[in-house]
Amino acid sequence: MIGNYFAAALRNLLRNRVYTAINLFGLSLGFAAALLIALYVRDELSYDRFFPGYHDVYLLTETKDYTNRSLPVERWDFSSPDLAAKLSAQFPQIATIARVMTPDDPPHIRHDQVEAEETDFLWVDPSFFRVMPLKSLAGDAQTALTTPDSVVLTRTAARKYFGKDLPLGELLEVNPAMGTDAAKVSTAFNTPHAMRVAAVIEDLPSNSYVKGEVFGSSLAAYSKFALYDLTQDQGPFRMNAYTFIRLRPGAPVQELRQELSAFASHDAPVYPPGFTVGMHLTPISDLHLSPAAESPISPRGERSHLVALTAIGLLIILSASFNFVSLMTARAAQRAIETGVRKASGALRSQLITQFLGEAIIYVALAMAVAVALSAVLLPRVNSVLKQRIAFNYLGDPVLLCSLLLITVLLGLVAGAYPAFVLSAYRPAAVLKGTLAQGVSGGMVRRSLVTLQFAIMIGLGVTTVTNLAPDAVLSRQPAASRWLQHPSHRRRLRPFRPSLSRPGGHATWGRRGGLRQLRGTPQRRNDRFCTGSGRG
Amino acid sequence: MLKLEHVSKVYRTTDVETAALDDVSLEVKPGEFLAVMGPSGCGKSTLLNILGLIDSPTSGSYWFRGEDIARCSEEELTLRRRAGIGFVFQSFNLIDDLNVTENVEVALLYVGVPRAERRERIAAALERVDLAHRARHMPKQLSGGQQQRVAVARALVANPKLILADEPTGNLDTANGEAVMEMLTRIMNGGTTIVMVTHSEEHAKRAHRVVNMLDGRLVDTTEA
Repeated sequence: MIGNYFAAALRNLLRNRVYTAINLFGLSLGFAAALLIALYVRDELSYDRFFPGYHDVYLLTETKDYTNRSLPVERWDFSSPDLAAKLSAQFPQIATIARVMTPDDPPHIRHDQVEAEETDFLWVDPSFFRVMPLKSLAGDAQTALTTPDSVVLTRTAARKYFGKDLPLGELLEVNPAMGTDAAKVSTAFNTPHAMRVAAVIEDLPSNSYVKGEVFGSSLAAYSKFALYDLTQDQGPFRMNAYTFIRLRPGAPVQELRQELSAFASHDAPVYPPGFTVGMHLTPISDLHLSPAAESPISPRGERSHLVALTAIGLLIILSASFNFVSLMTARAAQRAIETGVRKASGALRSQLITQFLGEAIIYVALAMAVAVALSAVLLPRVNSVLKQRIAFNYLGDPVLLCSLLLITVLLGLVAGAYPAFVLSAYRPAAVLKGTLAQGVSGGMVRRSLVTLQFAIMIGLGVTTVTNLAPDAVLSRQPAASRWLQHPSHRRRLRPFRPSLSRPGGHATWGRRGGLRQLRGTPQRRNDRFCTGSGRG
Repeated sequence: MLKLEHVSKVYRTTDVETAALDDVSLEVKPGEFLAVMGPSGCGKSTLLNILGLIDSPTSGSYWFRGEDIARCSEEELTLRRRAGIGFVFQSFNLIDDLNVTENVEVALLYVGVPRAERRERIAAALERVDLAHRARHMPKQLSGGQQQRVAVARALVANPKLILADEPTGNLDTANGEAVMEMLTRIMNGGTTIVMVTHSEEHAKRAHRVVNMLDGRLVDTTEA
């Protein structure tokens, strides 16, 4: 019986090639768009869950609460570099603590003929890879940075500088390039140093708060930590670190938070009057979608954007399904004779419904297969635009595979239900005599679906145009945003901020996320750039 | 075999009420070949649909093989139709997307015949209508006469006790019409009851009995 059904369905598809192509391609395109959106949303929702024991890892975040209540509370991802030692000594619940410092300007790195301003360089404590245990490809990342002149590279950085995956023990020339202020402290901060590759790790996934390719030991005499230690006399606000804490498994977090609050009031560095500073433990896995803060290592995601994107994905699927149902129903009349003959031969209505639902599921499965192929082809391009490394390994991801299968069956059932019920309701006496009543083919429903489909498409079109306004591009493009977050870039852009925030002012971005073109006029006062309050 | 008692069929729309059958009483004996004649719109096809359980009477009783089925649900009618009735239509009603074998197979799909037996019975049915050599052809590749022979093969493959033929020669030329009638006669000779609607007096002469209809009523019966 299945063979007979399958033959009828397949030949019907082949007989109506243009219709089949339009119907399947429309559905595939909708699925592919929704699938790419789903992959992005899932990526955003799964930040920093890629290393073992991530649920015990927290970032020490701070809030600056002004005594003057009219001023908004400031949130910081950073904290004083001095805090780590104090916290470690005072709180036995802390298993490991590690600090990270981002360079103000990218260090200059060279190996043989390869040299680069390394924007993905981080100075980290030796304990960093115990807080975030990442897979070592060579050496032991967890102990590698205890030697002062050591670096840990990702596979990408290893290939970039050495042209191979495992350059363990080889030397990399690193010039910290910390600028004139640091030069006044020591020339070491602006001269090249040989750093030995002590470990190579897998690339960090793109859904990681920490963005780094080259990790220099904080123990190096020319690290930013060393500069901090040498400038203790300049006060507590000159430099900041990101403090990552791994708690002992099962440590009572709520209790620790209360103790930390008391610690912030009594034992934290003395700040000038006018505000109080609160200390908080933000779970690393919640960090990406937590409220925005000052100077994050990588920009936050927006939960509201994810909700909006999810809604758009659902609307796209809905619209594609409406299109599918409309076309299926429109063609249903051509299957009327088949329905009549099968009914006259003793087919129950339920058997015909099963047959036509089965066909719809096969249609949807075909569309899904095309959509999966389309997504696999388009994903690298999407990743390139978003500067992400979203993976689409559907065969090695049981959850994703099951979801795709479930969606296929569900959508097949939903999309095929109406045509199946319309077809199976044909009266054999009428169709076999060729007097099928008008209106049975669901014209009203089709018109309603097409109207809804147009409404959705217009809504999506308006949303797209609205969201592509220059200002929105500047504020929402992750690569641009990350570029702007970099301290050195922030400084360079300050003069442009007011004009960027005005209509007509905008920035465009190169393939690698660098600034390609800036439209706007820098403000000057007494031949010096002045700061503004615009975006950036 | 079949017995109608005071059967009426009324089609209602919002404004109009049309009586397709009006107090029809009729009995068809097992193995009988009955021809139904009458002008277009007189209710011949409606009578055939009711006899074939693909339509229900508005009033009256219909005894199908000794069982009153006038008030049966659609599903109950379907179950009685399976393997019990074969249909031959004027416009052949072959499924365009299925080849000759698959079209004939449709009559066996819902009866629960195993696949191997299905193949044998389809081959035998196609032999009977002299179309074994066209088994893999699609309907569009066949002439009108050949298509109707496929429809006859489909009607007889399940060995039904009753074959209902609605103007089976209406779309055929004389030679093909005769061939189809010859087949029906052979089937009837095998013990199958046949009720045929026709406009052709020549073809009606092959029946044991001819009933004439007018305005939904039986007006005349002629024994052969």
